[in-house]
Amino acid sequence: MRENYARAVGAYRARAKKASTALIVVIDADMGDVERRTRQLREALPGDPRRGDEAIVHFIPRRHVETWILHLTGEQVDETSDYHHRDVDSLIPDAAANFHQWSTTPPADCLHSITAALQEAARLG
Amino acid sequence: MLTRLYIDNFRCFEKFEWKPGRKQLILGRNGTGKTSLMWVIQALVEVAAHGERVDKWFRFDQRTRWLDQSQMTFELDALVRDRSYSYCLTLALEGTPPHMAVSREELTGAGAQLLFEEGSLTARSAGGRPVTLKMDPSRTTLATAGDEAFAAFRGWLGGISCWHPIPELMGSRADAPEDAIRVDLSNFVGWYWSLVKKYAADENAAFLNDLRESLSGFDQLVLKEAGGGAKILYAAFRRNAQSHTIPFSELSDGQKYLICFYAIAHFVIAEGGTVIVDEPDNFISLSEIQPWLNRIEEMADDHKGQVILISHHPEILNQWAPSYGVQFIREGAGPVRVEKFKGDPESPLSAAELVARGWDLD
Repeated sequence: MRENYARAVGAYRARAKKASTALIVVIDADMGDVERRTRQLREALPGDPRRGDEAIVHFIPRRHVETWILHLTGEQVDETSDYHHRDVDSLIPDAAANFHQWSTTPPADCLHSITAALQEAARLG
Repeated sequence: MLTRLYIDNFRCFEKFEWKPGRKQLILGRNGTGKTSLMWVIQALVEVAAHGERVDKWFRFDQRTRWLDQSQMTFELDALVRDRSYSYCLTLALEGTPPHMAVSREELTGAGAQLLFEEGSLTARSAGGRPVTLKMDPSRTTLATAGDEAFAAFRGWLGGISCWHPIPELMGSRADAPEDAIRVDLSNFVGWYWSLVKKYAADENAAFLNDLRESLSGFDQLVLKEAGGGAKILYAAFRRNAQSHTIPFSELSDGQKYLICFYAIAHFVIAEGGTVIVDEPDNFISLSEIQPWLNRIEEMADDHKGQVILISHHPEILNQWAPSYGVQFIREGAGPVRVEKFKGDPESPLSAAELVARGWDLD
């Protein structure tokens, strides 16, 4: 993961010099938390951290992306249960639309990992 | 080797100019004229070197749609035996029913000139007096010009090989040796038969050695009498110290491909010929591509051959695009232009990854 992330950031930085570019990193938090993954990503760029003006966005679903899709489409979920085997494919378009809507008006009970991702999305301008 | 090609008013080519190197990889999205380019070269070979009728290969409805222009122009520069040649062929729309015919043709090089215009041909040998003849505009004059200087260029042009192999058309039997191989390689057996007769045993041995390294268990290619003067090609494989022969047509598509491609390297590129191959990677496994690329690169360098590949394969892109790649680019349905593959030296992404992301045209 660290190697791929560092390589992707290198590719982003090379291209961002000549064209409008964004790098969106999506990685499940799994049994850990968002802060743990964020720290791991930071450590993958020793001496050359992600800068505030770079459109490098970290989306870190906890526990995994199925958790987000179910939550974004109205199901009561928590961030520690395993929803990995739930069939969520048909819910993805609505989940994506709600994610976009929540970026301006998030609900009061928004999952912590989604709240963190919505703040990250601001990097996209 | 081909050093320049100019095409005007043919399909998507309008004032198109391309200067290929000794090794060249053509990249481009669908519809950017890669296959049309190969078709034009093949057609020029047929009309200018083999004497085919012009209207058999060039039709009036192949003129560029957005141009209101009756003439098609093709220019071809080449370096043949260290001498530079320039050939220009202009075709014009004529007659009823409308068809394309030669309106002007010129070859200069090696101190000689061949010029056809307004129905007359003027041929001037190096140091000689010009000779003027009435000629038939339905065929090129180059195809029949007798001068040695013209013959050298014509021989090189006629030897250009454009290949789009179709393995299922490759049979085992040939009725006679064949000097020329078809675009789809369907007459490989007849061609190989002529190669065996023409080349010394050690050249064939080098070819077979490459096959032994590339094809698991491969031992020999054997031409056996099949009655009536015909021959059948078998591939012999070794297994448990025993030899088994398999008719060429029963080999897998990939095995046939590899045999043909190593034959191209050893018997065409090594002769200084120009070879153009469309999608050479269709049937070859990943581990087989790199050794073949290395071999054709070595043959082109050592023997002044020329290899032009058209491919989207990541392995070929990564190996050839940074040094030998050109992009065919077309915006909308407009004309094709050609640019050197730029890549991005600062990016950690490979050439294939840049192409996959569409970042190769930044």
